[in-house]
Amino acid sequence: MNKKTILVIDDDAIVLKSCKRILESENYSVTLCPSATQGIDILKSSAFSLIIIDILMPCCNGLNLSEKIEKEYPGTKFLIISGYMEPKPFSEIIIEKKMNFLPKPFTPDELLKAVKFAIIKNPESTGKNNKTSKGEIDE
Amino acid sequence: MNHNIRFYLITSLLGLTIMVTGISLFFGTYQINKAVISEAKNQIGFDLRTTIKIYSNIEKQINSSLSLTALDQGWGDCVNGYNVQHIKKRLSDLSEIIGLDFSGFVRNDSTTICRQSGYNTTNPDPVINPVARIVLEKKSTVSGTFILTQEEIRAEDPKLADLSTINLINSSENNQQNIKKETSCLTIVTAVPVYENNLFLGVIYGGIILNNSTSIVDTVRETVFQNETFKGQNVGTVTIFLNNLRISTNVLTKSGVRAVGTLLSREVEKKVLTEGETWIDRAFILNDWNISAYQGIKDYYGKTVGILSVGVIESKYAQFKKDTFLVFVVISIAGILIAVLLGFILSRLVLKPVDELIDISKKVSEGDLSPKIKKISKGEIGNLQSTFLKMIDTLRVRDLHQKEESEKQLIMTQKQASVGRLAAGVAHEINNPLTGVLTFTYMLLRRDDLDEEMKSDLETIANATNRVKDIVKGLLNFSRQVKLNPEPSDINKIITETIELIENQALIKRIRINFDADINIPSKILDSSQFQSVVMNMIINAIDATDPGGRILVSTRINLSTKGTKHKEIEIIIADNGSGIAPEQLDKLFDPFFTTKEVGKGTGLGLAVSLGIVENHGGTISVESQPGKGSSFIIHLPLDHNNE
Repeated sequence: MNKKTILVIDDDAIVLKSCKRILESENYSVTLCPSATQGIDILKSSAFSLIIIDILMPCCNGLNLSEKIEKEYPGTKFLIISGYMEPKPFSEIIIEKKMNFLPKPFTPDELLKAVKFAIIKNPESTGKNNKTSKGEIDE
Repeated sequence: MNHNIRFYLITSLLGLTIMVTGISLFFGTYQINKAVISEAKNQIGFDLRTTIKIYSNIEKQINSSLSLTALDQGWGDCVNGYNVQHIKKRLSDLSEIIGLDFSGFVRNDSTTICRQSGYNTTNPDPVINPVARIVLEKKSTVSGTFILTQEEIRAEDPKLADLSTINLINSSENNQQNIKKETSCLTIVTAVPVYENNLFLGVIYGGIILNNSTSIVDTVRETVFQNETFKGQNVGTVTIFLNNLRISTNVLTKSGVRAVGTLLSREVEKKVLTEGETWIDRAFILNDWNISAYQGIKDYYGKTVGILSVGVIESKYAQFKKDTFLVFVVISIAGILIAVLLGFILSRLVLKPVDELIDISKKVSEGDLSPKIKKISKGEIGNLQSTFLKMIDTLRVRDLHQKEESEKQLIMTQKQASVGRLAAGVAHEINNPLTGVLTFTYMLLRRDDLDEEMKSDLETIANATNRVKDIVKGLLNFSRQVKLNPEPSDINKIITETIELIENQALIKRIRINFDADINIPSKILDSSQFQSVVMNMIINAIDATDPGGRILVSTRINLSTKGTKHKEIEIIIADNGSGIAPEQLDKLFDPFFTTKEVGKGTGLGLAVSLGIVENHGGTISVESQPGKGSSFIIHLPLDHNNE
C-alpha cells in the first residue's frame, strides 16, 4: 500500500511539529516546510497527495500560494488551516472556492478527519461533501 | 440689502423735504399773494383818495381864483361902460393863470357880455351858462362838477364843442347802445356873483372841460405814480368817466392811443354808479389785469355823474410774486439737495456698523468664529452688535461641544475596533501554541501504557486546553460581533454625512472640505459605522495636517483594480494641501501607537485601526505625500461581486 504523502506549509514550528506527530501516527509520509518559497522548491521535485497550508504567514498568504500551486500542478488537493479567520475576504474566498478548511487549534482526531476527507474528495466534485469545513468557517 | 436701506433713507428724507417745501411753497406763495394783493389794494385806495383830493383842489382853485377876481375893483365901470375889453382882459389873465377852458361874465340883466373865446357876445345870447344862471338867482357862489350840453359848450366856444365830443369805440359791450357819440361834457365850473358898493353887477364864471382832457389825469399820474414804468409801460393809470364812458384817461388801447370812448365794466358801473360805493379790486381793463379803485363823482346837485378811477397794472405785482416764488423754489431745491446729502451722510453713519456686521457675518459663515467688532455703537445698532457677538459666542461653544462629541464618538469607534483587532491578534498568536498543546496531549492520551493517574492528568490538560480554545473562540466571536454589521451602504452618503459631522471643525480652522462624488458608485456591503470612522479619521488627520485657509478634497470614483486583476474597485481619495509626511515616516504610518501628533492628541491607533477595518472589508490603504505640499490617502475597496 502506497503511503499517502502530505506537505505541510506553516511558519510556526510548533504547528509543523504537531502535524508531523499526528499524521505520522496514521502512517502518512509528512514533509514539513516553514515558508512558501521553500514549499514551491519542494514541489518541483516531489508530488504530494495533499498540501496543508496556513493562511497568515509573514511572507505571503496561503490562499494565494494555493492558487499558484493549483495553476502549476492542477488537481493538487489542499487543506487550509488558520488560527484566525479574518480578514473577511479570506473566509469568503474559502467558501466560494469550496476549499477544505480547518481552524486552529485542532485536536489530532479533527486533523485526521479533515485530511482523510480532503484526500478522498474528488477534485471534480469539490464542494459536494465539504460541509464540515464550511461549517467550521461559519462558526 | 444695505443699498436698499440707503435708498429708502434718502428717498424718505427727500420725500419729506419735498413735502415740506411743497407745502411751504404753496402756503407761502398763497400768503404772499394775499399780502401783495391786500397791500396793493391799500395802496390803490390811498392813490384814489389822493386823486380825489387833487380833483377837488382843482375845483377849489378855480373857485378861489374866480372869487378873488370878483373882489377886484372897477367891475362897475366895466359893466356900466360896457368896457368889454377890460373884462376880457381880466378873464384871459385869469384863464392863463389857472388854465380855464371857458369863462365869461353875465350881467345882472342876464346878458352874457363877455366870453373868454370872444364868441357870440354881440347878439343877445339865448344860451346863458347854466351855472351863471343859478348864481343870477342865488346871488352867491356856486362851484362844482356839472354836466353841460353841447349847446351850452358851443355857446362858449364852438371849437370846444367839437373838441369835447367823444366818439364811442365799438366793443362788444357797446353794441347794446346805439349812441355813437357822446356830446355832453363833464366840467368843473365856478360862478361867482360880482358886487360893487353892495350893488349886484353880474356873475363871473369859468370852468374846465374834462372830456378829452389830458392835463388832469396826467398830472395825477405824475403826482401819485411819479410816472413809474414797468417793462416800458406806465404802472399807474388815471381815468375820469362820464357815467360809464371814459372821457379822460391815460389807459391805452391795444393800438397805443388813449382809451377815450370805451366803457366801464357793468359790474363796476352797477356798484359805483348805481349803488354809490367805492370799488377796489382786481379788474381787467382793456388789455391788462389791474388793481383798480373807483369812486363816483357827484355833481353840484349831488347826483353821481361820473367816476374817478386809478389803477395799477397787476403784472408789476405778478413779477414780484414770481420773484418771491423763484426764491422759494431755489430754497426748496437747496433743501432737497441738503436732504440728499444728509441722507448719504446719515446712511453712511447708520450703515457703517451694519456693513461691518455683514462682513463679520460673512466671515462667520465661512467658519471664522472669532471676529472682532471694531467699536460697539450706542443704541439699537449697539444692541444688535452685542447680541451678534453673543450669538457667535454661543455658536463657538456649540461648535466646541460638537467637536468634542464627534471626537468622543470617533475614539469610541476606534476603541471598539482596537479591542477587536487586539482580540484577533491574540487569538491568532495563541492558536498556534494551543495546537501544539492539544496535539501532544491527545497523542500522549493515545498511549496504552499510561497509568490511571497519568491519564487523568493528561485529560485535565486536554480539558483545560479545550477551555482555552473555547475562550479564544469566544474572544474571536466577540471581536467579530464588534466588527461586523455589514449592510448595503451608499459610500457617497457615508462620506457626505461624515463631512457634515466634522465640517464645523474644519470651518473653525477656515479649512474648506470639498467632496467630488462619483454618483455611479454602486452600493457596497460594509459596516457603515466602522467605515465612517475610517473616513472621519482620515479627514481629521487631514485637518490637523493643514494650515488655516487650506483645502481638503475628498473624491470617489470607480477604478481598475491596482492588484492587477480585472476587477474594478472603488477608490476613495482624501487629499489635503497640508504639511505632508516625511518619507521616513511613511512606512510607520499604519503601525499601532505610531503618531506624529502632540502627546494626548492622538492615540496612535487611528490609522492602524483604519487599515484593519479597510482590510477587513477586503480593501487597502495607500499614501502619497510630498512634504510641504500635502498628502493623499487612497482607500481601495473591491466592488461587491454582483456589481463587477
